[in-house]
Amino acid sequence: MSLILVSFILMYILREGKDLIRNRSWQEGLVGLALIAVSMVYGIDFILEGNALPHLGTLLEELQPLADRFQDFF
Amino acid sequence: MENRISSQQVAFLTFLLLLGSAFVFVPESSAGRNAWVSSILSALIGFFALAIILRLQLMFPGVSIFKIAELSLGLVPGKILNSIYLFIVWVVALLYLADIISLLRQLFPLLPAYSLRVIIILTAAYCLYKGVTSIAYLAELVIGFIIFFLVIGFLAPLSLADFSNLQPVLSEWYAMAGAVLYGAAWPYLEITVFALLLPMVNDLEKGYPKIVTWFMIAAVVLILRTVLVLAVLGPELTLAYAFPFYKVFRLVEVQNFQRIELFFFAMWFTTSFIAGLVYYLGVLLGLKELFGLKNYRSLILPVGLFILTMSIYTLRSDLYFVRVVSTNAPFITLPVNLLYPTIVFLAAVISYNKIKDKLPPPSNTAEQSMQLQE
Repeated sequence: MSLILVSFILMYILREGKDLIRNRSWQEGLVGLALIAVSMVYGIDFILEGNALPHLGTLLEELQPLADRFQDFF
Repeated sequence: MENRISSQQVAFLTFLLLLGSAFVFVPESSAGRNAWVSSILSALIGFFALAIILRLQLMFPGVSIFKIAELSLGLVPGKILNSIYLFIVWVVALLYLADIISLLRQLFPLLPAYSLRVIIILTAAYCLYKGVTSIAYLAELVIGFIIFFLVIGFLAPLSLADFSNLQPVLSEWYAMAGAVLYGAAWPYLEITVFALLLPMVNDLEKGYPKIVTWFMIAAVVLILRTVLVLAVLGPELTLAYAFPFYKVFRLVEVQNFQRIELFFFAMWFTTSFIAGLVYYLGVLLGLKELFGLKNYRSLILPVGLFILTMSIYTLRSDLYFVRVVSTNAPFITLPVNLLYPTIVFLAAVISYNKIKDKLPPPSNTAEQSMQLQE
């Protein structure tokens, strides 16, 4: 995971960094950085085996009773 | 990076998206021997969604559904609704990635899932850097090869088919109705992602019948797939296998040749990859519209990383994916994919004149691009 994070961030900086600064595309840069930051938080939690953050599976697990009732009914 | 495509290209993309990864699964398999009837009913729901997004785009040519939602519902409710829809597009992108990985791991069980995920995302990112037009050309390029393998793929297992497995017809109504939920959610209602791509189409007014035609061809292919799988495996085995259509091909023997399913792997992989690619593009276009960005190019790698890390974090095992994620996901994807375009369409019809006044003329991307060329 750490390799994935580092390589993607490096690729992003090398490929987009210059254009973003030259074109003064601050909004695009900010959205990109926000996505990278969230990815890093989840990536680091995965490396540390924290499993403490909410994710899609958490939401879908909440729906399990509904799915069970649906399957029982049909 | 050119961003103009034709209706013909969107029609091919529609066909490939609908086949997608759903082609090797039978999402309606819980309906037992009547799964094919559920397939037909699911296709009708998908057709409704397609009709809504096409009508919306014909009413406001070149304007994105996010913009229409904000103009018709108001800025804040529109943004909230758009965010919910964008979340669903992202969820489906994650599911497509997981589908491709679980399919690949059937053939290459020793390959680590992380490496496969990275390879898929980087390949998709490369296609996106080439632009929407290149993705559309890719669809045009592969369509002949997909149809060739489809024809062979339907003919080869016919000798194994026992059509008495489909009888009695129209029994078990309850199961059939329940299976429509799964069939409609995946793949038919996933067609709504084209609401984000349609503003890029040059000739939608003349060419939309092509999109409808290819949607219908895809629906017929998926219904025939369900009939064939049921006829070969029977309802119990269809429900038991994770990839029933893949199993059908494994049973086929031509003279002394076995394992002919590997010939069809390229077809399955191509349709699944293009479906995932369209959803990756959908996330990018959605973010661009939601935040009012000039282009999405700089977001390709961050979105790829985001999908990748969330996929690794969320889908830690194949069993968790099959038992929890893919089973429960239709309960959030179906209502949003069905209600979002419907709500926006109704709001747009009610406030049609108000939206038209607010839009700067000319709003058509084709007109704008022609002006630029002149």
